[in-house]
Amino acid sequence: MLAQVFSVANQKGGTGKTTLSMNLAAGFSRRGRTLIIDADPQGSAGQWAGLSTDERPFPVSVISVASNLAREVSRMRQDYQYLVIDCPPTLETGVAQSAMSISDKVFVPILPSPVDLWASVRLTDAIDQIKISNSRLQAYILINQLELRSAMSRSMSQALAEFDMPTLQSCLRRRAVYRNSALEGLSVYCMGKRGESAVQEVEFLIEEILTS
Amino acid sequence: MTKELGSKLANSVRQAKAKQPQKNTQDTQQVSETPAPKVESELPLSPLPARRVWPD
Repeated sequence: MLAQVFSVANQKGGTGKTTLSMNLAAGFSRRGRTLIIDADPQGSAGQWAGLSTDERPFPVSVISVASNLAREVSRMRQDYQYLVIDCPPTLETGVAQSAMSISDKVFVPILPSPVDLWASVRLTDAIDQIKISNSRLQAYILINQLELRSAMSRSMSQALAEFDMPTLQSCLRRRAVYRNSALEGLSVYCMGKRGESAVQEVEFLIEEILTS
Repeated sequence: MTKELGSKLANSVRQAKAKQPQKNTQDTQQVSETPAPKVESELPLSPLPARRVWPD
């Protein structure tokens, strides 16, 4: 059976693409063979996994693909159940478009801020155009770094209704454990009690992804 | 307050959408018909090897 291919994309930097990719992949790896494809020349996913130790390795392998993404993914699809592509924060190179053109689903992490909302408008247009050639592509917005006490966070749903793209019910809250896990080269699944709440929300997210 | 803020945010998104440049159909055809060659030709040189596996 061919792998399901998931892209994490947003042309704006700092929206949590790599954090989402790494933790999603860690969660998927509990369900089946998973690979992270680092399509971002910054190489943050590889750097993250590289910080892990032999005693506590990151549970998912990371490969960096700088060219021929479609060909590489096509080859990998036969060996894995889940492929997660961490896209670069730009639409100018065409890499993110290539990733989405071979994906089943794309997740767009958006932070609860006006600037992030505005920056994501252009991406939704790009996704609409890619859907012309990849009709199976499903695109979803994911609210990342939600702060329940913030009025801005609570107001997001009204603004996201303006996008022609559904928003996942699950969201990721702003938690220090996501940043700390990166520093240790781990996922939140390996952070013990500190990571419990984060694990729970990643699990909710994965269940929603797999059933949507 | 949340509702008012939500309206403001929604309005700002509508404005951002309105300011989007007109879609270029020629570009659409290029992306949809030949995505892979476009990536190859436009990718900047990377200091990383084409394919790096971690862990080995």
